[in-house]
Amino acid sequence: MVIKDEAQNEASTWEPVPYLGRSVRVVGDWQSVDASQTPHEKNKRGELGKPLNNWYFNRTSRDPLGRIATANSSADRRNAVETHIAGAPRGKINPERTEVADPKVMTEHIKRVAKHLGASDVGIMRVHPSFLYKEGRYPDDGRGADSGGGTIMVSAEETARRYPYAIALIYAWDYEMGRAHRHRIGDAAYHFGAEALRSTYANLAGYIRELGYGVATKVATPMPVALGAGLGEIGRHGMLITERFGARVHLGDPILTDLPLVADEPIDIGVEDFCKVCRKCANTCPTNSISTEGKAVVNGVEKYKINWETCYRLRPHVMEYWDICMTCVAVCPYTKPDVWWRTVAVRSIKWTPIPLRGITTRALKWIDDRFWGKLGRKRVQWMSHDSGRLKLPDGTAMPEEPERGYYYPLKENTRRFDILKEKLKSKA
Amino acid sequence: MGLLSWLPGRSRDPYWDAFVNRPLADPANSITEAIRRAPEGRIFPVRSELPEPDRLLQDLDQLVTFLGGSAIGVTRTDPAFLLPGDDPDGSPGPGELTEDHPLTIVCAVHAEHHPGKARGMAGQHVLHESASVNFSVAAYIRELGYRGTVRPVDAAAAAKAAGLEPGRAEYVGDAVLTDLPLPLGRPGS
Repeated sequence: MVIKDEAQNEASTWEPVPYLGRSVRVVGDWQSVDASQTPHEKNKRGELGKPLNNWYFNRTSRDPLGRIATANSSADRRNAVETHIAGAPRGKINPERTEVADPKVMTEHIKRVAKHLGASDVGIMRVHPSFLYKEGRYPDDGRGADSGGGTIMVSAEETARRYPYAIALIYAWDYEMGRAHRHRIGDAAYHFGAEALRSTYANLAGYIRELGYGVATKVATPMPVALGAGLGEIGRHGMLITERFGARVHLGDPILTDLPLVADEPIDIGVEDFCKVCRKCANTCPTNSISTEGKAVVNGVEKYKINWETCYRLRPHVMEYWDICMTCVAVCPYTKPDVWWRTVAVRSIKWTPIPLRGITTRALKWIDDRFWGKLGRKRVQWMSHDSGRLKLPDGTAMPEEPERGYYYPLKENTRRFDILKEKLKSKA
Repeated sequence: MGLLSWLPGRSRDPYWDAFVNRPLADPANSITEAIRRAPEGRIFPVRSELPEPDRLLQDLDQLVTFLGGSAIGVTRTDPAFLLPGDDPDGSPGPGELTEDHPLTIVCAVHAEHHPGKARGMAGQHVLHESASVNFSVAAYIRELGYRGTVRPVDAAAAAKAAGLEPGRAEYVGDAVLTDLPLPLGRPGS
């Protein structure tokens, strides 16, 4: 069922795009993101070429754990819990609506509920139509249940009017396991974290319906909502950097609701100042997809520009060994365990007056390089996996490198395909 | 109760009690049942090379802890503690199950509320945790190339047989029946 809304062509009466913190600046006309033009959607249609399309639809992980961690790597999708979360029927809105006398109290309650259900942190933002997908919602590939009651096609403005608040959740994956990035251990931390967040979102949406209020999902772009909801700031690597967990967080699909809430404010944890001097992610990115230069204006927003295509194109080349790169996340100096000395370090930037932050950030970067190394690597052992001993596709083990762990492939050889192409082009 | 009201978020949250105790108006607003009733996938046709049984149990223990569980134990499958499933007509009987799945893996999860008393979403959340852990353990075993199926059991009897003594803050729900070669008892016992 498709309902065409009459108010779709109503004149816009919205305020300018709200402030999203210091790490991004809206300098021009910001158009809503067309979800059908996002990397996975382009890839599903085969627009990124056969190898990537084949990687998306036809891969089966060599690792038994990898086959249950994400449905796309499975031999049988029913063995991945995400299949069943996506296909779970959606409940009805409770006709006995819980009255909200004080939205502030309800906000505190919803945040406590979300954390009880598994979220690492929660933020709320007042919805602005610019943050909603251009075509109304994220394309449905038919593999999950719909949001109940048919697909409602209304304008972004009307959606923002109906559901004035967006709830964004994050889930922080295991720090130690994440240090074995470019390895099956890091993959497990990443994928199972995503599953945990999916179930938390599904249960929280269900709880809001139980309170008697409506929810809409797959309609909002996660990053601006997370920034506006004060969950973190955007780094040079294009990832959300949070105060407690750094960049090792999943950011799922925000829930839009008409439950009366109070919006949070963007935060300043000094990411803008730190990313200017750090460049660790850009220097270690295996595909050189992260800029070492200054910011650029993309879709009216001034931010660090990522070459998503080179980042994305790595995947079929490495799928025999691992799924998720995460190098930029793992080496980010903000990504550390959630302990007191990390809190002290982040607050020392946060509490330094902005004009003096260059001194603090340089000092902290120097400390980070000395204690954690310029390329963060650590041998991690988990279950029968060992990031210091990598099994090749033929089953033979790579020589042990106990000092640093083994991460395949390294920067120099993951770029080899592009370098080869460039050489051939220049010869031609 | 007066003192308890000073604990963070207690009396200041007037909705909390309903979250813990009020049964859901529509059970589909929680995804627990969707996971519990999820159809099982196939057994991977190529069996993985397994480590020694003791090591394998330690691996499963690490997996269960990582997924949010608190303890794991293994016992022989006993028809006496198998309960009829939701779909008894389509399920193999206890005798057949015991023959094909000689071992039972029992996983405990942390429980802030007792699901038998607290009927709200928070109270029932432990069922979700338990279902998720059991689902993933069974699916992992199937992907290793062995049988792994989640079945309802007499939790107290199965946990005791597996060497688990779930405390007040722990819950045991269904169990995973398998033919994976594992040692009996708890890891390292």
